[in-house]
Amino acid sequence: MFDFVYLEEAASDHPRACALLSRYPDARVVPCERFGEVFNRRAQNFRLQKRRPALIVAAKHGNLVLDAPPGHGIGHARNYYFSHMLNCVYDCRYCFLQGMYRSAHLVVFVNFEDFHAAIRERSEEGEGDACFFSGYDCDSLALEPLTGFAESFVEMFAALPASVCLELRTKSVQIGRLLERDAASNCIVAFSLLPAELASLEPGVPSLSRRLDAARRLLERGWPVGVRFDPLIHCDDAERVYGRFFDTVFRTLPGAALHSVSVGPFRLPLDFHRRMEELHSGDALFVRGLEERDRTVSYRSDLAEPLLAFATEAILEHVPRERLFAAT
Amino acid sequence: MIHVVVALDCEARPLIDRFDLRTASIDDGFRVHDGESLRLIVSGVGKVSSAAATAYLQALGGGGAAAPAAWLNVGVAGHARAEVGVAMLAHRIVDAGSGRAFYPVFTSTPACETTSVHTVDAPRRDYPADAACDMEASGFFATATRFATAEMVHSLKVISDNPATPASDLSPRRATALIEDRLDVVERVVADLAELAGDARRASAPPPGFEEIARRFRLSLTQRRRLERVLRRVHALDRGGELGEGLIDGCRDGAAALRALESLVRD
Repeated sequence: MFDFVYLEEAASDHPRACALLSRYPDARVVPCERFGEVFNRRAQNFRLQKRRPALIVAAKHGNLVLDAPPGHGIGHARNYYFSHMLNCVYDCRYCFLQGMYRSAHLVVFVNFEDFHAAIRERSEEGEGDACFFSGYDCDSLALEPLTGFAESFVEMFAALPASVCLELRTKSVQIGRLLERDAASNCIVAFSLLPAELASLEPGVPSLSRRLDAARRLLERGWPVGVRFDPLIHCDDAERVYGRFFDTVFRTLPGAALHSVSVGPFRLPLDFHRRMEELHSGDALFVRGLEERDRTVSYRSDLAEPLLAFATEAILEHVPRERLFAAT
Repeated sequence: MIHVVVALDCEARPLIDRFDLRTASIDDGFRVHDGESLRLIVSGVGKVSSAAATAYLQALGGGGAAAPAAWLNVGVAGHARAEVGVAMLAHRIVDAGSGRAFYPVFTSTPACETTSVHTVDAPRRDYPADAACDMEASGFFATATRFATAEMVHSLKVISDNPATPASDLSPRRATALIEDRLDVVERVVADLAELAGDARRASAPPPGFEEIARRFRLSLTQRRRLERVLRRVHALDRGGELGEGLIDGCRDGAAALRALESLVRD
């Protein structure tokens, strides 16, 4: 899968790094002092790198757990995010990561124990319940067989108070290790979903039916399962497309059984949009119906509001209002 | 266009013959050879010479946003462990003087083995552990990546010496023969780079209508950028056909033409 693995000096002796390298005996291992030397360099082309991304194995130091951006929550008093990985194996056309990073290489931070300590510390410092989001800069489960991330963090969260939750957000169907263990009531597995008609925007992502099947299996095993309709993408005949989509989703996943549902419009920070439009020059996705407001690019309100209202109403036919959250 | 930078005439000779290059200039400080899709410069020895030659080649044209070039440094190098005659692409280039490291990026499986390359300031008798040793790669790479992204800049070394076969035995004729023997690898690397450069050229080509409108109005650099952007948007929305319907006929200047085009995208 990887021709090249860049190995950061600080991570080179870590047992998890050694385990990762052993998975790719034929890869060329390139040492680097700091992962940023490779990942953050100027003069890189995200699209060209996406053809054959390399793996960067590194250790994360400082800022391991951050406050989640406003509008990124599912009902907890406190919201945080952390990233054991940067970038994603998938190549979703609308994904903001390609606007955020210069490089398409996948970075895996192997010092899970430091993340554990930082999470414990943050969980104890404030009042009220807390949620830690793990899928902001990556897909939480897509590389689970390689990283063992969920296995490690679910174990850790299972020992924390029930008021401290972990969200694993994914487009993958890598649920094998979760099914092998007892469900953890404070670990929410959240599936990002898009209508099958828009699957061409998500190359390499498992089909909607496979993701729904994975979510159903987790539900049946007692795992808290969420679904994320974020972003809502405009398309021809959007209400018909999304209407059928919601019917399909909630036929497989009873809305009342879901932990949470969130819905949000397609939106990008202005700088990210500019970079993504350059990378995908000529793609109507980054032009049609969009406008800039407050350094954010999103659909014009005459397009965004009706679709969001339609989606909200359709979802509320299946899901209790208190479990539906707006992502903004 | 592929821009090739080599240190010595003896290293350049096999490339000039294989790619059928003609001498383009010899009087401006560097010897440059031109072909249909490849341009080669002989830099002289050392990273400063290599950096200067790289910048000179860029200034000669054939690069720029309209036709992005890919860059290749070819030359002989020493290695502590590799056998003489082996061709190796650099996956890491360390400037021994500053300690600064550079990382060429591979977007497909490399055409040959890869290695770290240490660029030194003067010939040395000892070899860095498990790395090739040359005198140009860091200067070349640092300069070329000002003009192209790291995916389109590579350094290919043919191993000329090692502890068993010291550099003192290396003659110009031997260097020519070493490069000649690995022209198959050079051709594969050039083909890979040509494909990338072609993709980059297509991606950065001005959108239809750009040249015509830019010629018609006297546009500033900023306005040209705006024009390119708005035309890409017009075509993304499949509204290119409306450009010929008198949309900008009544516009007195470039600013008015841009406003008209931007309103087309907003509608």
